[in-house]
Amino acid sequence: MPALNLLRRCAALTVWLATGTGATLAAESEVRGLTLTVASGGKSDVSLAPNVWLHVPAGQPATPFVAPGKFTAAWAGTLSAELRADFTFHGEFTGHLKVTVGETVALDAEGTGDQPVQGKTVRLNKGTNQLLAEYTAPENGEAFVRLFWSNSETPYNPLPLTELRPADSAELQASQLRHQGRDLWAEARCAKCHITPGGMAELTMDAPSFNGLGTRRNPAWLAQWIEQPAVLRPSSLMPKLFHGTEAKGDSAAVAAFLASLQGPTPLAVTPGDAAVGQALFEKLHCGACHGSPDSGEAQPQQLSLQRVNAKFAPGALAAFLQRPEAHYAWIRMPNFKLTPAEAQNLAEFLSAAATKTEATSAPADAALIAQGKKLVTSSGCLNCHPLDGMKSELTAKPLVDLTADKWTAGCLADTPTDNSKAPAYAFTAAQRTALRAFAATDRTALTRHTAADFTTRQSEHLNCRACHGQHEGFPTYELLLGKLKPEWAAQFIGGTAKLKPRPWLESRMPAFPAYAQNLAAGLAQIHGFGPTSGADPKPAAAEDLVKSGHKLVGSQGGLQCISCHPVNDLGATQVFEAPGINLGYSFDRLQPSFFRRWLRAPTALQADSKMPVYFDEEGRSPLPDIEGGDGPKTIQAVWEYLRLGPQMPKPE
Amino acid sequence: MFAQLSPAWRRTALAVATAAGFTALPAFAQKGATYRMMQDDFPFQAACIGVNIPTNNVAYKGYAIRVGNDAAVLWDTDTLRLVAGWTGGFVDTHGVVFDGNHGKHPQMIGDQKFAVGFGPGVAGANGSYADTRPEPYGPIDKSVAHWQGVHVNGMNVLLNYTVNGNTLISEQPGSVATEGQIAFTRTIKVEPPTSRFLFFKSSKTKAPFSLALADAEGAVKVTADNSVTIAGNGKVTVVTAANLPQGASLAAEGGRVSLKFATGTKGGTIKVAIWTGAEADSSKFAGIAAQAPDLADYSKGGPKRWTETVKLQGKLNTSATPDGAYVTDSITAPEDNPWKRRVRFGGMDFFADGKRAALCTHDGDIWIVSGLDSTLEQLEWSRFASGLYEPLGLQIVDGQIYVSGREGITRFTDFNNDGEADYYEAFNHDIMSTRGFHEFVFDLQRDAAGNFYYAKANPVNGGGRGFGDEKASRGNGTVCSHAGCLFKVSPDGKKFEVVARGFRAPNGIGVRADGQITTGDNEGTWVPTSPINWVDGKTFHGVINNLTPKAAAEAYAPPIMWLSHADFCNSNGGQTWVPNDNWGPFKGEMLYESYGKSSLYLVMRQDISNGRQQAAAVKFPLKFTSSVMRARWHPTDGQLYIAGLSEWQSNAARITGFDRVRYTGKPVYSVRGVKVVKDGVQLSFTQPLDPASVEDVQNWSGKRWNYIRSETYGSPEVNVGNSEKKGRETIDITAAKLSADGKTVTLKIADLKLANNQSLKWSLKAKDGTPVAQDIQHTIHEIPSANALN
Repeated sequence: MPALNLLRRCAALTVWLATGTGATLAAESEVRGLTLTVASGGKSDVSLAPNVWLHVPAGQPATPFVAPGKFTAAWAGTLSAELRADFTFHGEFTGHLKVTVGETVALDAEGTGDQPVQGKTVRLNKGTNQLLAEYTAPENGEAFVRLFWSNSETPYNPLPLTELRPADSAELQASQLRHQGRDLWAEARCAKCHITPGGMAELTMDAPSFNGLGTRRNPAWLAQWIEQPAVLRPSSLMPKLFHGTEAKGDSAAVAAFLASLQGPTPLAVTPGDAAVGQALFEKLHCGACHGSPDSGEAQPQQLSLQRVNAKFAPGALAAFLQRPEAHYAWIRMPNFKLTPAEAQNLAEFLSAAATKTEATSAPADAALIAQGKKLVTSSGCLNCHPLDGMKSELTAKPLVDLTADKWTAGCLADTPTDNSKAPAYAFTAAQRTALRAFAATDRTALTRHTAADFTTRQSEHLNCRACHGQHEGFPTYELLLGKLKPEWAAQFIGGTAKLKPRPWLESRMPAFPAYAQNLAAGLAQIHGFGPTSGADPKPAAAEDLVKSGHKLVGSQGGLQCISCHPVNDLGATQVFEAPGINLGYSFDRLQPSFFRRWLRAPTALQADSKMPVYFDEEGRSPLPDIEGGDGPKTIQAVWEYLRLGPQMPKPE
Repeated sequence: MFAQLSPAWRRTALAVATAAGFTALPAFAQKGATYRMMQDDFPFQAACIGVNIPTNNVAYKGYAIRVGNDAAVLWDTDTLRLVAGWTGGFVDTHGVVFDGNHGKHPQMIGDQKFAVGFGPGVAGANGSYADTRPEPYGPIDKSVAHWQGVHVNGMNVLLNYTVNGNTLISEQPGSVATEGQIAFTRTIKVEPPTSRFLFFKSSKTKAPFSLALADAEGAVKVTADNSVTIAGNGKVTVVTAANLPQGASLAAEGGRVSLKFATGTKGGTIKVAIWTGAEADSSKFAGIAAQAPDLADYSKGGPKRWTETVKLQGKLNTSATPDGAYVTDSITAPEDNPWKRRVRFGGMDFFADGKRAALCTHDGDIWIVSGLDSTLEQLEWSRFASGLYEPLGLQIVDGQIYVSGREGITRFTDFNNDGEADYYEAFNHDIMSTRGFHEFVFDLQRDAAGNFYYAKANPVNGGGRGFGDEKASRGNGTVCSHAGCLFKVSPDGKKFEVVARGFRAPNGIGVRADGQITTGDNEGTWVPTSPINWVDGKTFHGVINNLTPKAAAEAYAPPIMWLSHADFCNSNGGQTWVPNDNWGPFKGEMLYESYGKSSLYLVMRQDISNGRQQAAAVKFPLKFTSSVMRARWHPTDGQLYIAGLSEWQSNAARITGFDRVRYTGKPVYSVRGVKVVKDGVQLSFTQPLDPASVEDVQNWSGKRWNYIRSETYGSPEVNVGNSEKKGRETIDITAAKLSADGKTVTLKIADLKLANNQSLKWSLKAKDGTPVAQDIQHTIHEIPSANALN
């Protein structure tokens, strides 16, 4: 799974772009986005970017593959229009931005920060138009770009993601291989043996803890897993450490030792209700990552649940479901905040659907356990897996000594031999190619972290798009970019948010505590926003605007928002089609610019939204008696009212 | 008319004047005052209404009636039962048209004094109160008792019904207060049929019957002076009667006190009193019945109740199509009125002279507006009737107003010509109604033969999914056999029949003069997106509830077209047919009203095999004051008038609106016909087009997609070839050819396929240089095998 090959990576990107606004979709599954080339300090990096968006905080690198400092960026590709039509381009940016559409320069200006700079009106042909956006970051300070377009029938919005295609570039493919190699270096925990200068966030990722493992795993499964991890899980990044004729015995010894590591208290075994568990499995969309519980290894993208009985000691599955990150902080399985009863019901269901296994008891052979203990320290297990009071004795060459020519042997040998001492990873040929491509770089990318880069990769690993954009009430991943304030997103992704924005959904957003902070910042930064919310000062005469906003939200002469949206503890008055999110939370949740674009034309952002479009093509409000019918003022009035959050006076 | 490019997310034209349709903000809205939902200057409110005793005692079609002394009674028009009386209040304001609550209906407020339990309130010739209805909804056996209607006179009402098919009962509920105690009275006039034998005329009942007065448990004492006392639970209920003709008596049987009439009882006016209180007070009520008020004189109508009017100015040219051919004028609604009534128009029709129109509001009123002239400068609104049960359709026939609502069709008579209704007649109240908040009764149309048509929604559960789930909430109602049906009522009101079924929430129908019926429907369970249904009397229109016969469900007839939720219609209004050439070049075409998008569409139909049709829609880019829901053609100026309200999902600006769509006589620049041909689509236009702009395929684009019809709410848009894949697919328009007369364009489309929806969009020039930019959606059920020439 982490080692998505290039093709799959592109396909995945296609899927998430394709499930976007839904308004327009090409039939072909093509790669969407633009080819982004970033250059700084004599080096350049090419990647696939969803749009002409970028945010680089002061002093940070634009991508992990270039050094911090002044940089240039260029997005190249095509932009499709539905009909021959005129469009005006606008940019919100610092530094300098030049946008060329076909032969015409659509925008060429110094940026003024959050204040949009309007470019020229240019004619786009029906079908594809060459697009080139060239950006020069400012000498100092934060660098950002957010490009928009508009015309008489298109409100101010980013270029539609569905209409962007990257420029063909051999360099893009080569660069993506390097990115993938770097990703694998972290995901396969290479740095745990080969000392690596830090910086990339995932270099600190842990592996499942050995403390008390014997209480949580069945001994027989441990032995099997250690001996042949890739047989139990083809996508596993756990290497096979024992080879040759000793492999079986060594694995059994290590398993015996691990099985002897009992936790402080035995796990309670409480029976659950499998039928209730099944309903929960469906409600929570567990199948998005696991397929159906009785499916085997047929789908390589999904983690089979067939062996839960073999793997988990009695009571351990329910405990794991309740707190997956308890013994493994960076586990990809999120925390669904299950109640004990829910965890038991789900465990009962999974257990009933999985292959039955005979209970085995842990080997009591002291000599075997001692042998295992020795192997655990000598074989490198403890390089990744923590165990209190014990240290690994295995060392390997540091990264700096692993010159590129050496990346064809040892762990990366094309055909590992049985007498090799190196751990045997189940890398595919494509994965080895990617690692070698990365080896050929100066590897300083491992010393750099950007939240945007983190989010681009981890959103794939964590399978965000398996639910987002797939089910009702799950905003598409792309819609989330630039939608949520990073502070709120961090709470929501991290599982610390107190409220559920869509309480009517049976499903729930699970928590990814280790990932949350970076994902939240990354979602914003990919869209050109800072990792923390920007200034949003109250406008002059805010109090009058609040009054107008109060009226607009109400039903007496307003837009009747309260028909569908609750406001704090005041319930929605008349929900006919779709309930709306409580407006009491909106200010904390939403980027102000997203709110403005959303209220102006919700179905332009999400075609299947039930939210009505109130503003006309000139952006005027349908209520001329409030704020003179001025669209932006009307929208700002609602925002100023929302700003009061829990103190919002009740709408009428 | 159009010449306005319309993007996916919004399709409206330019040019709205700054004060679309209203000149001043309602004063009370500014002050934040609330609407007056339960009126204290009108005698009743119709609704599904509950009382406290016994549990779940409800009148599905109830009238809560004020009887003075801060007391009220509940009358059930289905069961002809005076359900209860209570003191110290009226009814609460829960309910979809009151406080907007989804799931609750009004409930009595106060101290309940007596009750008659659920079931018929009249026993016929066989002496039984047993409920013989197949479902416990709708009128009871009419041969036992048949609801006729209610007269109003000041704060008095007279309830009219027949018993045993021949005896007219007219009763006036009331109250008498004495020494701090309140007794409920029923002044009951009995008019048996008149028969003649030789020269002798006589009026006597031909068969026995009984009227239920009160149910009570306890020790029963019947005294000779026509008084029944029931003592129990520390209280006594005393029922007395005065002026009993021979053959009429009070009786207490099986816990029920009845007024019994033997065969041969003569007519007369009987006075009944019912009191409940402490035993010590019971002696005060001997003879109280005699104090019951006399019947008011209802035959001449009552005094004028609403003496004020609301005078307003309309506004002309509130929006226009880019070609200037059509403009809207706004007829300002009396949102601000002395009675603080909420105004949400649900039905509208004109009086024959065209100077006045009547509009009903979902809130239960009928308003009459005068001053419908070219200037709209002197609009005057007056109130005509009130207290109605959620009316959403209105017709005027021979000067008389007919309204459809949850009760059925009610006809109004103004005896004294004072501009207010005196008699609210149950023209046909055969429709069933349960508690469901979503059992809207929609629209009222007529064919040339004078038959009436209207529709009823399914009892959608709160939140929009599924039907009639009483476990989730009793207020979701029950699926009854009228749920999701379309009804026909004969011109005399005597015959009621279901003519089509399988609808979810068809907020608007259309009836062509020849009787051809169409309906829209609101997306949701089994409705993937807005359809235009062509009703031929045999077909089932798609919405399956737990009473849908299997055979009916299998005979599903797809609509003539779908309109996409996202950009054409998320919630329908009615349909109407352009009657003549006074309104531009569209005589004989259908217009479709979109409630949710507050938009008006021209529907362009194409005949295909087996008598079926497929159609396309293009928008009139105009702006309306509120939603676009109920359209009528003006009898003298020939223009189209549209009334609407905003209550469920709509982008309507105001809670109500009444607009005129006026044809200015300027040339119309628009598509006017869409036909699918062998390799593409042929579009006909109202004006000759510029060949160069037409034949450049850069000026044309299109997409296609399908829907999935299922029991989930609505449908995503999915790929035509692969329903697993979401979204619209771009079609390849390879050539555009213009006909010699410049008015027909044939588009060649590569790989043309059947599609639930295909959209086409163009940005062209007419031959005279006028921009023609429009977009359409159409449904392709069939691709004809030959290229048609026209």
